[in-house]
Amino acid sequence: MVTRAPPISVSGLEPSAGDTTFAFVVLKFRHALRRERLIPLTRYLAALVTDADAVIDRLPDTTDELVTVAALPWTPPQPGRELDAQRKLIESTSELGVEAARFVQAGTRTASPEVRFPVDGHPPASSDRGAFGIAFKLAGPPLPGTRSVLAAFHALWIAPHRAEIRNAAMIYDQPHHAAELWVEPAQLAGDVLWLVSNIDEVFPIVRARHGGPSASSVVLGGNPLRVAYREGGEGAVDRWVADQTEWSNAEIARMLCALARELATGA
Amino acid sequence: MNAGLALSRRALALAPDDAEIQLAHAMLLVDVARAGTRTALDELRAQLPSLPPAIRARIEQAVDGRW
Repeated sequence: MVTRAPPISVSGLEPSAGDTTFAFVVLKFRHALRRERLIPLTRYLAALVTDADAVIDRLPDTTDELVTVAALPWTPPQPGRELDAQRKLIESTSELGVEAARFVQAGTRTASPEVRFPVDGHPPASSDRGAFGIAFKLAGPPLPGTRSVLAAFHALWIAPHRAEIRNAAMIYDQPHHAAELWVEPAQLAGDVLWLVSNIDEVFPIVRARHGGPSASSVVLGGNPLRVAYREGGEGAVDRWVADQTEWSNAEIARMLCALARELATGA
Repeated sequence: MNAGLALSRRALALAPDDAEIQLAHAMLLVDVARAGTRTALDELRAQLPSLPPAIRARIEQAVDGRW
C-alpha cells in the first residue's frame, strides 16, 4: 500500500508586488533534518529560489546542526503560469518532508495591520531619534533553525532602508524563546507591526512590546502583569503567576521588577 | 513605594541568584530608603554580604556612605 504524504500548508504565495528588494520562503519540516539536507531541497526548488547555486554554496555540506524551520531567498512569480508552476512545485515538497511554506515579500507591507496578540506600549511614542524596535515572546518550545529564520525577517524589515540605517540588530534569546529586533534611526521602524504579524504566521507570538534595545540578558517580550496588577492588585499578580505556563521565572521576575519600579516612581 | 517593594521581593524569591534581579531590588531599596523608610536601609544592609562584589559596589556608590 502506498502512503501519501499529508498536504502541505502554503500561505503568502502571491505574484510579485511592488518593492521586490527582499523576499523569502520559510519552510517548516515535519521532522528535524540535518542542515545539509537543505542542499538537495534547494536544488529541487531552484525554480522559485533566488540564485539557488549561490544559496547552495553558502550551505554547510557537513554539519550536525538540525533544522525544523529554514528560510530560502525567493523570487516572487509573475501572475498566471509562473505562479501556478511555483504552487505545484512547493506543494510537491510534501513528499520531501515539508509541512508548511510561508512566503513573504517586502512589497506587501502595510502600515498598521491587525495583530492577534497584545502589544505593550502601542501606539509607540513618536520619535525620530535613537533606536526603535520590538521584542516578542514566542509560543511553545524553540524549533531548531528559529534564529536564522528570525534573522531573515529582520533583513526583510530593514532591506528597503539599507542606505539610511545607522545600526540594527536581531537578538534571539533561545532559552526563553523570545526575540528583539531593532533599527536606528527610529523613523525607519514604521511598519514593525507588519513585520511581527508575518513572524506570527510562522512562530505564533504570545505577546510583544515596543521599545529600543534592552541591556538585559533576558529578552522580555511584554509585561502582562501590568494589566493583572491594574485590575486586581497583588492578589491578581499572584494568581496570574500561578496560572500561567508560557513564561519562565527569569521572565516573570523581570516583569515584577519593571512593575515595582513603575509603582515606586509613579510612572 | 512599599507596593513596589512587595513586588520586587516576589521577583527576588522567584530568581534569587539572578544578578539583574538582585541589583533591581537593591536599587529599589535605596530609593525607598532615600524617601525616608529606614527599614529599607536595614534590609539592604542585611542583604549586602550575600551579593556579588559588582552589585555591592553599585549599591555602595548609590548609598554614597549614608548608611
